[in-house]
Amino acid sequence: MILRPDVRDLRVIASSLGRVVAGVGALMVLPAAVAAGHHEWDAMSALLLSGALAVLTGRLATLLLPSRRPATWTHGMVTIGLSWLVAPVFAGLPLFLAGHADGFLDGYFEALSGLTTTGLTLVQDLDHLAVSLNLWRHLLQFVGGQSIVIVILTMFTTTSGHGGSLSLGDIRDNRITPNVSRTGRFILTVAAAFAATGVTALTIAGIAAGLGPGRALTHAGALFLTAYDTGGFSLQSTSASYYHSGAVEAIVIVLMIAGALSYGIHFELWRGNRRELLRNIETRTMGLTFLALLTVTFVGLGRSGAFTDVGPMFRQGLFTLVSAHTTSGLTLSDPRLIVTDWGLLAPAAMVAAMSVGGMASSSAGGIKAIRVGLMLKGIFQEVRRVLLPESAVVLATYHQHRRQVLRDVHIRGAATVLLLFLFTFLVGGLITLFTIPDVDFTEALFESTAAASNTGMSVGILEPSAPAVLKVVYALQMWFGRLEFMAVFALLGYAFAFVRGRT
Amino acid sequence: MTSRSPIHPRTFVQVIVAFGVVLVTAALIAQLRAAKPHETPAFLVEGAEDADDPGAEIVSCERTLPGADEDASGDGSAEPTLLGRVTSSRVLECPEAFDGHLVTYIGEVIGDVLHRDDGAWVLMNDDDYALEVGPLASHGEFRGYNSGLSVWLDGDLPDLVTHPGGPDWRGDVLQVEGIIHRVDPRDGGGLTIRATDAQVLAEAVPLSHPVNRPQAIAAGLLSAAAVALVVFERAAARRR
Repeated sequence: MILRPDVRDLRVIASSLGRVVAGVGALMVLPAAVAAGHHEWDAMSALLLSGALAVLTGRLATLLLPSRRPATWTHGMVTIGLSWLVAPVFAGLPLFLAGHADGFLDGYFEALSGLTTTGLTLVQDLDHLAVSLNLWRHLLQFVGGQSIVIVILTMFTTTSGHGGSLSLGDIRDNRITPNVSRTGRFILTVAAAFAATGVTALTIAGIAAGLGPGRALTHAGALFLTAYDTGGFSLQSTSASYYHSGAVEAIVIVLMIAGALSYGIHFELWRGNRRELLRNIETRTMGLTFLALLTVTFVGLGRSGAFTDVGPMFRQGLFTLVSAHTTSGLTLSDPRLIVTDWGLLAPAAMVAAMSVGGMASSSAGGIKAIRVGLMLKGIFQEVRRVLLPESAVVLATYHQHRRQVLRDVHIRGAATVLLLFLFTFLVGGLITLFTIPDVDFTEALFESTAAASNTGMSVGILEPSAPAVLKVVYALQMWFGRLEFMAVFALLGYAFAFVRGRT
Repeated sequence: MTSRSPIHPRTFVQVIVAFGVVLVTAALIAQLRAAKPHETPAFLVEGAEDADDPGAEIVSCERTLPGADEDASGDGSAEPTLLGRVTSSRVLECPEAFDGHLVTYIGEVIGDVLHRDDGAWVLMNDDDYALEVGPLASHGEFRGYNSGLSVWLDGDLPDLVTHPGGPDWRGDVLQVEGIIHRVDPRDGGGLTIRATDAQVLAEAVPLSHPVNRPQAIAAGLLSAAAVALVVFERAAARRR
C-alpha cells in the first residue's frame, strides 16, 4: 500500500530544499565581489538581487515550515531531485537580469547546464559577457560537480533496501569514509590540491601562451573549474582552442581525467595504493573503451581526408576524445567541424565515448564505467557458462578496492540504467529530428547524447532560437542524466503517492 | 509516514498565497530587466555590414570553388589569387572547400592578443555583435551566438590592434587577407587563417555601462533584508 505524504513530510522536504536554495544564494556573494573589483555594477546588482532573493526564499521556507522530524531516505531523494530543478531558478536569474539570456528559460537552462556539469550554453554574446557573470557560470559547475559526488557517496550508495537495482548501493566505494562530513572534507581536500597545482600550472602555461598575468590567472581559474568538474563552459566562445597552446591542452587533459576518476580511486591513490589504479574495474573499463575508441577516432580522422599529418590528428583526436569520454565537453576546434569535417567514424566514436562517460563517484556523466564493466563481465560470464559443462559453477569476480563476486543484481542494475540512458539518448534524438528542420539523425543523436550524458559538446543544433520545447527536453535530459534516474524516479513516485496514495 | 493526517484547507490557502508571491516577484524581476538603460554608440562597420546580402559577394560553398592554388614550380614563387570575402559560418559549414584559398575576412579582435615569436594569435568574430549592432549589453538586441575564426597575424600585424573586445570594449575590427588552413599543422590541427596583410576598418570603442537604478535599489533593499533575516535567525538561535 502506498501512503500519501502529509504536511509534515512536505515540511521536511521544504526545509531541506530551503537550505539548498539559501546556500546557492549565499554563494553569489563571491562573483558579486569580483563584479565590484571590475566595476561591473549592473552585474553586481543582478548577482546581489538574485542572491538575496534566494537567501530570503530559502531561509523563510526553513523558518515558516519548521520540521523536527528526521529526514528519511525518501525525503532525501525527493530533496535531491528537486534541488537540481529549483536551484537553477535562482542561479539563472543574474544572467537573465544582465540581459545575456533571451528570456527566463534560457537563464534557467544555463544554470541547470552548469549545475549538472553539462556545459551546453544559451548565453548570447559570451565574448562580451561581464567577467563576474562568466565566473558565476563556472562556479556553478564546481558546486554542481562536487555536490553530486557527495550525493552519490551518501544517498545513492546508502540504499537500505530502497535503491533497488538502479542504485550503486551494492557496488559502492567502501573505502571512502562512511561519515558525510568527513567524506565532504576529503572531497574538498582533493579538489583543493588539484586547484592549487592546476591553477598554478595553467597560469604559467597561459602566460607562456601570451596572456597577461591577470588574464592568465582568470583563465586558469575558469579552466580548472570547467575541466576538473567535467563541465564544459568556457570564458570565450572558442573553448580550449582559444589558447593555441599544447601546454594548456596537456594540463586540461590531466584535469579532465582527474575529474572523471572516482573519489574511491583518489582515496586509494591518496593512501599510496597505486596498484588499485591498475586493478580497479572502472579504470580498466575506461582504459579499454578509451583505447578502442581512440583507435576508431584515428582511423575515422585518417579516412576523412581532413588530416594529412599524424601530429595534428593525434592532438585533435586525443583531446576531443578525452573531453568526450570524461564528459567535459571542451573542444580544440569548433564542434560543428566534428560533423562537417571529421567523416562518420570519428563522430560515432565521440557519441560512444560520451555515452560511456566517466566513473561513478565523480562529477562525470554518462552511463558510467562501472556499469559498462559489469555488463562486459556479465557477457563473458554467460559465454563461459555456454562453453563449460552444465554442472560447472561459473563464478565471475571483479576488483573494486577488493575482490568482489559479480551477482545477478549487479548486472540487472547496470543493464537497467544502461537501457534507460540509451532510451533517453534515442528519444532526445527523435524529438530533435521532429523539432528542427534539416537536421540528420547523426547530428540529432550527437546533440541528444551530449545533453543526456552531461557532456555538452554541441554541434550547433541547440541555439537560442531553438524551439522552447527542445530546450525543455534537453534540460530534462541533463537532469535525468545527472541524477542517474534514481532521484527522478523517487520524485515521480512521491508525486504519485501524493495523488493516489492512501491516508 | 506512520500516522497520516489529511492536508488542512489552510495549507491550500498558503500554497495559493505562495504562488501569488512568486508571480508578483517574477513580474517585478521582468520589470527590473526591462528597466535596463542602453546607450548605443554607432557600431556598424562600414564595408562589413552586409554579410547576408547576396550583393556583398560573400563566397559560400554552394558556389563551385576552384581548387586551391598549386605552387607549380614548387619554389614557393606562385602568387595565390584572391577568392573573395568569407565569413566564419560559411567556412565552418564546408572547410574542405576553402582549404588553401587566399581570402579576405573581416572581424572584431576578441579577448587577447596572444603574442608569439614572429606574430600573434587572435580570435576574430564576425557575428552581428562584432560588425553590426555592437556588444549585446549596449543595446539588448539578441542576435544569437558569437561566431569567429582563429587568425594568425604575421610579423608586425598584431601592432594594429589597440584594444581587443571584451566586457568593456568593442574591439578593433580588422580586415585581413590570408590563406585558410582547414587543418593548420602549426596550430595543432585547428582551422585558421594565416594573415599576411591587414588593415583596421574600425577602431576599438569603449563601452559605457549605464547603471540600472531600479535594479540597484532592489538589490540593496533585498540584500539588507536577507542580512537582517540571517542576523535575526542567529540571534534567535543564541537566545534559545
